[in-house]
Amino acid sequence: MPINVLVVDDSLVMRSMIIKTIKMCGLPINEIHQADNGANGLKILDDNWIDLVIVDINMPVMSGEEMIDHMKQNPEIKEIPVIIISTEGSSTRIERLKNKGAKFIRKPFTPESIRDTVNSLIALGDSNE
Amino acid sequence: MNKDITDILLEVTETTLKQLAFLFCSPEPERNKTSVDMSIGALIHFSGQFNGAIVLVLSMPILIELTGNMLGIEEDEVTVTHQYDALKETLNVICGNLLPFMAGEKEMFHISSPEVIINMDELKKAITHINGLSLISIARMHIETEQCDLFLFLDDNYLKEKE
Repeated sequence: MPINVLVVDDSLVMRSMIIKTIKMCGLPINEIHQADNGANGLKILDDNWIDLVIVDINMPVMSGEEMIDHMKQNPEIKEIPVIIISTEGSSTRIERLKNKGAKFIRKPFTPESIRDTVNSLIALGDSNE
Repeated sequence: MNKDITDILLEVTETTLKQLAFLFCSPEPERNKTSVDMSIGALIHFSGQFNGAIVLVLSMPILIELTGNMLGIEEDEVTVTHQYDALKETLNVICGNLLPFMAGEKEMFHISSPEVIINMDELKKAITHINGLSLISIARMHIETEQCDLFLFLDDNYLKEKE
């Protein structure tokens, strides 16, 4: 079943790169939404059905980690799979983020890393469903 | 200047530009000057176990190529907004990948939002002096015939840690 994806990153160029990569990966995509910080990402989650969130960490207004914390407190969206794509290099912080249930991809990323991570998170089902 | 840190800077920059934008840079150790003409800069600060800043100076033609490659669009479609954003994101990635090499993988740093430096006088100043920090390393590279230079500034805490 096609999925709806939310990409949250304060860099327009990075959002475009992530979206281009997702489209190239052959994943069944329905809609792709974008936000430039965690607060705007949460608004999109309020108004839309989202199957996967891809989020940066260091952003103005609300960081990716704060956004994930808000998501975890909301029963309606706390189960949505989250992939963090970030320059974060500290294993201490990465481990903390993974403990919140998120997968982590370091920038610069390869298309394969995104494809494999999405596949590991989303049960895409088959066309008979 | 610290040769070990320069080598790390060169390696991280080379990997970042290759993976982000399919650009291949080569060290240019024989060049001892950075031209700010027809160039643009970006500055990022970080704080943690030690504090510092990095300035990236790119020739304009390379920035346009970098941006086009990152976005997968033709160079004549690249806007100034795209260029500034690509420059900032590139420096952000370089900084994020450099710090674990310098401080170890467990250390946590706060990395500021990068800022673009367009004004030539400000850029000249930024590559020579940043308040409270010392210029530790300069990594000069070229991409095709254009320059791509990095300036690393650190506070005394880094040197104390290494002693």
